[in-house]
Amino acid sequence: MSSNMIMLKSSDGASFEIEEAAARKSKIIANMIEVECVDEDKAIPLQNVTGNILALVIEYCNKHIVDDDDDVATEEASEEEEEAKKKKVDDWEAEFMNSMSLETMFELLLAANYLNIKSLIDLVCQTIANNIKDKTPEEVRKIFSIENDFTPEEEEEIRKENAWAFG
Amino acid sequence: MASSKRASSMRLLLPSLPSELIEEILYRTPADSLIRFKSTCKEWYDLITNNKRFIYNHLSHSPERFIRIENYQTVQIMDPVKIIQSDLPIPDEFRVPYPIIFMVHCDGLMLCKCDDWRARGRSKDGGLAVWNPVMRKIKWIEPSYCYRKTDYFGFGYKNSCRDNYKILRFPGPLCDRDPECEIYEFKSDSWRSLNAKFDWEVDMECRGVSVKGNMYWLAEKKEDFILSFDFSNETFNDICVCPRPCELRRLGCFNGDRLSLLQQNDEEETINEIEVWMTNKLSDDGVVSFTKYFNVNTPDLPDLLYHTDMARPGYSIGKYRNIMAWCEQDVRKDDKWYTCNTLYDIDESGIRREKETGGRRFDDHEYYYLFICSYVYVPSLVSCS
Repeated sequence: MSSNMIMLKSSDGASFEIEEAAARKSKIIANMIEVECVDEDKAIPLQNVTGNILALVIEYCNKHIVDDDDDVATEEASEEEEEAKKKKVDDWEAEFMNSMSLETMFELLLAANYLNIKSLIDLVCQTIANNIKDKTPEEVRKIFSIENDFTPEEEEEIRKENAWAFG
Repeated sequence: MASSKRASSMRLLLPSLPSELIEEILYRTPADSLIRFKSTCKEWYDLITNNKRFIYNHLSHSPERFIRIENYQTVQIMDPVKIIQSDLPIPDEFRVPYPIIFMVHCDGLMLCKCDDWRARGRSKDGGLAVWNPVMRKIKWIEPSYCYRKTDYFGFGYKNSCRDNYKILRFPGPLCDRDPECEIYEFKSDSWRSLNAKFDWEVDMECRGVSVKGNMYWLAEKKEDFILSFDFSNETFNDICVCPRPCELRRLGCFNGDRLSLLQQNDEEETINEIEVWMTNKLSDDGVVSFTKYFNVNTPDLPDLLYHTDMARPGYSIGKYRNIMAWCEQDVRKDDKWYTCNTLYDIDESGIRREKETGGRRFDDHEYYYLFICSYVYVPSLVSCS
């Protein structure tokens, strides 16, 4: 299969070659391609994304573009095959996010948001949610750099109202 | 460089996220965790407690659970995908002699019909409550005159006014009086009567399902059909005919916008074939109809719908063409009868997973009612008042 390749350049100067179809997972890059402001010889500079995070984004896009291609090629695919494919993608995503640090997840989320890749935003947000769900309010404040603006009395009052939830 | 390294080892130094991304994360965080996170800061408190946009966005991301009440004492909530069960004590309000006898789910709120055991034998008794199990809040709904054993209830909302929940009360198949039909609204906190014609009977065992604010039941006129109550224009409608009638069946909701129908054959000495039927999207313009989604006829199938007098399981159709069902069955051991609760995950190739979640010896009074073992429920932060 011949396809157009484009170049992406991270904020720290690393260059990545990626299939145009994969890069189109990013609405921002897709728009750039639409309005033809992509010069074939020049890399698209992404000032907000470092090389190690861009590598993850590209890995994600490459994986998902293959699946989208399959959809087009096998329009007649039976429902059973569709379900099996969905399961395969879910398993891949679980593996992809597995053992990623919270810091990398936050950076990946910011990159997905900047590049406007909806499905990646969903995936990372869900993984962060799973990560924080059993934490205490104090731990959550640290994770999101939130200042506690309750007085100790107010905080105690809220804890009392929902005492059962603190088990 | 060296100093920033030292700093990160002392405390978390994560990049700060814009508030819209933090909200996206919180939409996917379980409701019970969010209740704990209320004390994080004032902004989060307001979001989780009062912000309707946040609360309904959170609801739309909240995954399905099963809820059941074990022996009138324990509320059991099951994550059917991970098969993780959590138990809570039943709120004091629902303790015997006022046990919940059936529920209808809408937006994380359970409409509960409670019995009154002290009034057994009388035709009017019991109470009606709206309960948010995750928030542990209960609102009692006073009757206009009284509730009756033969009452059926619907629970939903007008599309343009989602938080003004409405309750429909109408006479079920055992009612021998003139049919009377009423609607209650959260905002007015009162009942008003509704003119409606009844030339059908709802299925006795089918307590109905609320989908996108409207109610659906299996019903019978000349043939079996799906009866709906549209809470926006407050009318009963005949939605579509049912597949070939089957003794054991239960109506459910798939993907938030379709009806599913689980049927199982009850013929002895044959395979307990399970059929799953599905409608098109209820919001589609035009005709709603059932098509066969899949069926299972492997030899190892359990009786999901145990027998006609016993519990209808809560079930959910998963995204991998599978049925997750939480059932109650009875087993005989040493001349005594026991109930046995089991969660099954079944696909076309048979049982994928099976987990016994408890059981106990049962008393004689237990099959006094046609009852439902478990319900599909979506944990939410929606207020019940």
